[in-house]
Amino acid sequence: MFIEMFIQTFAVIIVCCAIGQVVSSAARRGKK
Amino acid sequence: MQSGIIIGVVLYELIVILGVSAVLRKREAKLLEQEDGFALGGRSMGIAVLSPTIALTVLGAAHITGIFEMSYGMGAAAIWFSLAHVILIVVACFGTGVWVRRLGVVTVPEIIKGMYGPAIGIAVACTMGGTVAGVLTIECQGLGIVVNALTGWGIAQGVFVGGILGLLYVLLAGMKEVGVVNLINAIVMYIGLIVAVVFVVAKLPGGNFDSVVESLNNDPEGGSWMTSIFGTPQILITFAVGQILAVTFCQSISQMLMQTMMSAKNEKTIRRSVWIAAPVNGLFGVFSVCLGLAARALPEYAVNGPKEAAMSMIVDMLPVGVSALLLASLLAAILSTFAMTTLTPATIWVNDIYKTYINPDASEKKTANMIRIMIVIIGLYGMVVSTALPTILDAIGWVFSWVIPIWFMVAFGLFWKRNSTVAGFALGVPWVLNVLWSFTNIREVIGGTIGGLPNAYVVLISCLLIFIIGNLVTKGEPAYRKVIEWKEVE
Repeated sequence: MFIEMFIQTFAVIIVCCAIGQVVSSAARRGKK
Repeated sequence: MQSGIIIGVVLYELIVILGVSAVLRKREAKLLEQEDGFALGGRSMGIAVLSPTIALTVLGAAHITGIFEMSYGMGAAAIWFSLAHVILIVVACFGTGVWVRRLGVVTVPEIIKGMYGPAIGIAVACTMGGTVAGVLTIECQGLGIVVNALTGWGIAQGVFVGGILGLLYVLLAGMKEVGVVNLINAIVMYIGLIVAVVFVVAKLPGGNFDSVVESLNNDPEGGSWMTSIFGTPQILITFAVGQILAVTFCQSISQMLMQTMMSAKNEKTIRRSVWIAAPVNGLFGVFSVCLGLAARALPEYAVNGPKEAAMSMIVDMLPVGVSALLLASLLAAILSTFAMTTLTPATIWVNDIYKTYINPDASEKKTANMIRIMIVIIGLYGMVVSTALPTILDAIGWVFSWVIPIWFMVAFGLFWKRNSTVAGFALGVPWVLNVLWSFTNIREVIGGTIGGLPNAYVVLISCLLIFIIGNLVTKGEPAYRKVIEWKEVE
């Protein structure tokens, strides 16, 4: 249970960060 | 009573806090003489100090006692409280945090004053200072509960001892000290959590979590949904989405986290910090949820109810040494938030009221000393109020909702248009609704789905409607970024 929850949570965290990174990069490229 | 545990942990905290303070005074002797040296650490925080500070500023008592309690009723889906904070950190590191760093301000109300004028600025300063002080009382309460559970000390004694440590955390060298102590404490926090979970698992039947899963699956009130982070559709819609909205739109513009962002060396440091801050913050919840579920599954602890089951299990299962390590770990989480919740209202008071209306020519030294005095006053207030109001955790939704309109005020003002009258209504009406929602029977009168909505939804919907309709039908000043220098800080 612990390992499964750890991996699921970690995956959600990485996806959230990646979405933020992509949106932020796109917005900064758009301004330039 | 385990006085040895508290003495050991207090000594550890004192060594770290005083040691960091001594090193900082030697290596950065002129730090406190720099502009914003005390409140913002001279805006020099690199990724190593900034990322744990971001993570720990928004990781406090609710991540411990709150998640224990939530996991008892809704199972593993309680992790969404933690994941809501991850989303908040992402929004802050790529959005609001970068905006406030670029604006070069000391407080969020300073931005509002520049955008909408002094009247709305002072209203936001008073409200934001008050809401952060509200969070402080929750942290104080958490301090008391954790110390009480692991040592047998009284809650008031625990609040007092923890509060003194929390004040030292920030009083000696301000933001820079908070950052460096956070870096050390983040490491101790995870070591303590991992060791505690290993010891608890070793005492579970079979030496693993299988018995917990089996017990929860066969529980007449539970089921397989209890061990899935996605819970049930209803939990996802009501709890997960509600938490994401309230936490993201309140904390990602609150002075608490924004003061950390303002202390960053540059914008790139803030954006990069997300990759450390988000996992450090978010994974903490996995440990809390697993401990909470284990207590829920074991009848001898579950019988103590949602508030006490997990703590009673931990106290029963852990040997003294591990209890001390876990106390140091949990105090690391709570004290970091305590430090920021005393520093930020003090900074708002000094920057937006004292330096603006009382003593505009105050020197940097006088400003730092005034912030110190306010930290002590606010810290004492938090300690006293927390012991007098034992059910204050219930107020967190109400407290957070006050800040939600400020998020849209900043975002629309920066990128769309600014109209002080619209902004005034978009603050005032949701604030009145927030008070009515909590302190009158308006929810029962309305009834149905709308009457059942938590405060965050009501505040969010009302302020969005007023801002969008108001901005569309009125003239206003151009977007704030068009009238100031809006350039990346490198």
